[in-house]
Amino acid sequence: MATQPTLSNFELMVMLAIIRIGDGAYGVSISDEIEEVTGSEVLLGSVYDAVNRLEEKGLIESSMGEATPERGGRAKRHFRATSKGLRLVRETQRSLVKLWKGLPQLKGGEA
Amino acid sequence: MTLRHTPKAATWFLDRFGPNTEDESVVGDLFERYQRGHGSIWYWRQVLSIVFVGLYREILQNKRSFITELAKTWCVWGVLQFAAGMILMVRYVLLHPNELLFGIRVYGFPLLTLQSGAESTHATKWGFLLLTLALNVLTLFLVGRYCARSSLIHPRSLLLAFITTYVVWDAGWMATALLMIAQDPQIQINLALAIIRDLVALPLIAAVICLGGRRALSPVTQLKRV
Repeated sequence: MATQPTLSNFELMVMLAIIRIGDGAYGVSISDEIEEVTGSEVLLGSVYDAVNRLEEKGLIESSMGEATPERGGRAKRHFRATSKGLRLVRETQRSLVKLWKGLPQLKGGEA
Repeated sequence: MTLRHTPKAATWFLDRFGPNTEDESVVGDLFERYQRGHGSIWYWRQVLSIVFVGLYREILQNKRSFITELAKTWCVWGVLQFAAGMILMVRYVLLHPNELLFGIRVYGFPLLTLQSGAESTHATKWGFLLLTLALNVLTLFLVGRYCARSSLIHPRSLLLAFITTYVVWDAGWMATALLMIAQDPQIQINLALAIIRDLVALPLIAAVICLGGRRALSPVTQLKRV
């Protein structure tokens, strides 16, 4: 049986951020999105590490954009989720929802 | 809109030791976020996170090769230090046994912990100090060159790993020395001076190793090697 790639908590966050942003996803926008949702600071090193791993697994793909002056003449690296990545996120969501169901400790926001 | 300049030393460090130095987008992303008013401490923290998370990932991917190469580099350093210790021994300790017995003490491992005593004559003391310094610089330079020739792992990563382990080792020694100072007031001055000397020497040590391994740190070479 072929092993399915798995997602760590942070990798899942990065995947979801890339999907939410859409075509314009790059390092800064991904970290902004995660910081806005979680409310805590994200180190760019963790984001690059996660996107490199996701790309190795074939869950996202990247392409280089144009160099712009507001970035000191450096280009952006754009990311987008592949169909394999989207499928894995959906499966992860289904698994998490299943695990969530029927947990009395987490009902009514008391936990 | 006026663009702020990022801390030069941090950008140099990222350019040379970053995991994807051929990928300019990393520096661009940092530059863009820095323009939002973050300080240099924030910038350094981001740079260090990018460099060391990248190094950690590389170690995980090539664990065996990495440990082997790092151990070999430390062995090369040890052999060079031993040879340098022998040169010092022949040049000074054997030629000036009476004077140096009480005047200058040499710890061959590492040479930088040499101590000079006030009882030796100035000529001998300065000659000894200069030779020790020259041998140290040469040893570290050659270790840098050795790292730059690594074929099993990326030479840039080996250089960074060697410098990091050197700093950690020395920091451990300094922490131990501080504990000893706290416990025994009699040895305070000597140890405090040794700590100050090491604090001054560490950036110079890193600089000499980088100078020796500069071939590995040149962006053009990195592009060819990756």
